[in-house]
Amino acid sequence: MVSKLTSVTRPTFLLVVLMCINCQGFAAAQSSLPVDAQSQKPELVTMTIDMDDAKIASLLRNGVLRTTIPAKYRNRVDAVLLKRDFSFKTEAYELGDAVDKLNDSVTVKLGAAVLERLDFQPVKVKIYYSGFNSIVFVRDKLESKNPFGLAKRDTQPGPNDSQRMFARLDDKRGVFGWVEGLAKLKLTTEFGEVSIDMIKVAGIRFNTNSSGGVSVRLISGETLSGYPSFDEIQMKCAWGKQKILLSEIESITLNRQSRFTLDPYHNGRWRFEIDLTPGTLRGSSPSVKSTTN
Amino acid sequence: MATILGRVSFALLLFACFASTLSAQSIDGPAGGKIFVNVTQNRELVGTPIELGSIKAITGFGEVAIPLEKIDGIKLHVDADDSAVVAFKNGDLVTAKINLDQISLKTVWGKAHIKLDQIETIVASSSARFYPETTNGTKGWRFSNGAPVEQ
Repeated sequence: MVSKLTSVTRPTFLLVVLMCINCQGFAAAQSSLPVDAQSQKPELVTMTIDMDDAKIASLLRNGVLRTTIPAKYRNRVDAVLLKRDFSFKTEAYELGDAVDKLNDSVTVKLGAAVLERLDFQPVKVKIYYSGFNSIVFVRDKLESKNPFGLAKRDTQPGPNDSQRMFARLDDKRGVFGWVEGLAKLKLTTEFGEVSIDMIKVAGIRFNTNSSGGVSVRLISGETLSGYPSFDEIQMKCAWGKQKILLSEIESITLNRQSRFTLDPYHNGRWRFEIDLTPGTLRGSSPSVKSTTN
Repeated sequence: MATILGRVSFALLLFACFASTLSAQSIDGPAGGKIFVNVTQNRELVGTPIELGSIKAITGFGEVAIPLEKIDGIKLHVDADDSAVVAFKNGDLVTAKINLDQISLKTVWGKAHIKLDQIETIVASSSARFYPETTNGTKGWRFSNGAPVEQ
């Protein structure tokens, strides 16, 4: 388990301590202890834990995941930041009422929705206790149905929204959701304005040229190029609404596996590789006629 | 006087010829480029389209008028609904129902009027072709404009 400890109280003393920890304990620390110069109080630190697939699987399988804090950082950890390396947002969501203390450990309850949220953004847990030398993450099977208290209209599709799609920012980052108000996609093409039912769309590649052009791939296999009349979209995802500038989006597709790639044989044209694995397509018929170039 | 009348007549004749040429150009295809029309029984006609600036078609996203200069090829009668696949010069590929009865061509030997139901493909270059492809178990069409492949 790779973790970082960062000071949070005084940015001037901000120190990142890269450590190698596992569930049994920390490996050798690589930094001296940062100390508040005036008060001589040790600085508080945030422990960052990269929650990779193996750790999440272990937590789900065993119900617990234990992290031991080395002696020199004891009584200094005031928060834990859980993150994945492909989080859509970098800004952390602060999780409340998840921490408890039992003897010399604090326990942090993590439900399925919180673990899923890690794909979207880091989750920060504040710890107000002291006198603990380990943090135990416990799978919370009693997580409430709406743990983030979000309004349904912000997280569920309406009649004017697109089907559920995956908005990809780059190789790693993306988010699933419904594009608000995009039941139909209006495009200015070479032969005029067209309005395409989004339910017929398998994917849209944005920024195909420097003028903000898009290439639309229909489920039928047809492709169409043009220019949209908007410069941002608003996604309704499981964690509320999220505005994304078109200039920041690589593509929106029916699933994470489908991708647009530049055609190596035809300069400037895009190929679309659709994944038809059962269950990966949502809200549309998985019929594809052809690959175009 | 006769000379003046003669010169005026000659000028009028020249103007008439020039005007008719202008008129003929304005009703030809936009680029005035040749197109290759494959009709049934492997016959091919080559010529310049007459009075055909754009092709009206009904697509899955509405009725459109496609400028002829944007089209690389049309494959007609691809399904039971008599749809066509239109390949654009920019690489787009759209299925549509062509709203056209016939195409008129100016050929080297004169004018030809070809009914659409006799036509299999219309392409902008002699090396361009449509070819069938099955992707994920579904049949479709791809188009190659015959341009050299960049490796």
